[in-house]
Amino acid sequence: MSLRKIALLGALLVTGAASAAAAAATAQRWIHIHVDEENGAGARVTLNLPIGLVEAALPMVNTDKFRGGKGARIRVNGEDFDCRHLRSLWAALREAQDAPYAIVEERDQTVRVEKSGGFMLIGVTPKTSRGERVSMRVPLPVVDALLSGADDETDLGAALRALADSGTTGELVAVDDDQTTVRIWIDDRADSR
Amino acid sequence: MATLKRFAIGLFVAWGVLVLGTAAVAGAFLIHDGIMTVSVREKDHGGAHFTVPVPGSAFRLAMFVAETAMPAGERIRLRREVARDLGDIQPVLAGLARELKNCPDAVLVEVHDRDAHVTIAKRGGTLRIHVDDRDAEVRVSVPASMLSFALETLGEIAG
Repeated sequence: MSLRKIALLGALLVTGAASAAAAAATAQRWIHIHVDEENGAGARVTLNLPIGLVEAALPMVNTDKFRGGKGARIRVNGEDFDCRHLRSLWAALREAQDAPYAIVEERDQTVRVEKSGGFMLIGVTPKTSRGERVSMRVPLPVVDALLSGADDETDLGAALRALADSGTTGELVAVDDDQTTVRIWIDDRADSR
Repeated sequence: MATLKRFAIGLFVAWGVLVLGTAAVAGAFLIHDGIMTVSVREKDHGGAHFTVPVPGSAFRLAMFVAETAMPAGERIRLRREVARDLGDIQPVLAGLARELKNCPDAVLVEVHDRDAHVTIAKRGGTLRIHVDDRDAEVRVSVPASMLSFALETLGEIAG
């Protein structure tokens, strides 16, 4: 093999190694949270956090409902749901085909729960211009992990790890009402755009 | 005479190596541990404006003194106090500090409202906190490695 070919092969190997290292470095998953308030204080909050950092901070969370990343019951629309019951429901839903599973028409809003393309999609659409609009997109493995806690506990730490491993990018939660806009999304970027 | 001259040169070289070596080690610690700075600027007329640099190696020195120069009884009392004050939170804080040390540069938190602007960012291995409100502007920069070392050392002290 000529010296020129050896040099070219060496350059290709070095470039390949550098690209792999760069890819590994940029593969870190970031959670971004953006809250925009339009009331008196008009606060704007932006968080750009690597998932590892959020997971490391979880044990510091100590509230009535969550302790050290594990919590009891899930509250939806002001109602508490026992995780043991949710697990049985989820086991059935997990294996079922993609479809809308609940469409609840209330006086001032429509709530829709749907399984589609590997995600649970939850949407709240107001019937008036002043209502709150919510959309949530949760990868199925994240729901598996969230409900993997013991007895009636959820496991937020496991859910975070599942989110990081799922490869999902894009918006996870969006909330819009008169006063506030909230967006939560995940990607591989350190900045929030 | 020649022997005396050689001895004097040898002594001078040894002294030079000792001085330069100490400076190099101190410099290495400074480079490794970095400098924490706190800067405050009060916005009212005649308000205070100061910057305090604290080398990270000062913490290392304090730990060294605590572990070696303190009487045994005092050392035990210090360990118990640190363990009581930190409780179960120390390993979590140490884990957080490690994650911060390893995470890429980014603006981690930004809060902007009518009265204040707060940013917490990591730039070039340093955690930078900036608070700007009506009364004052405060900037704190802490090398992430210093934070990690401090929390891990506190954990070791607490046992």
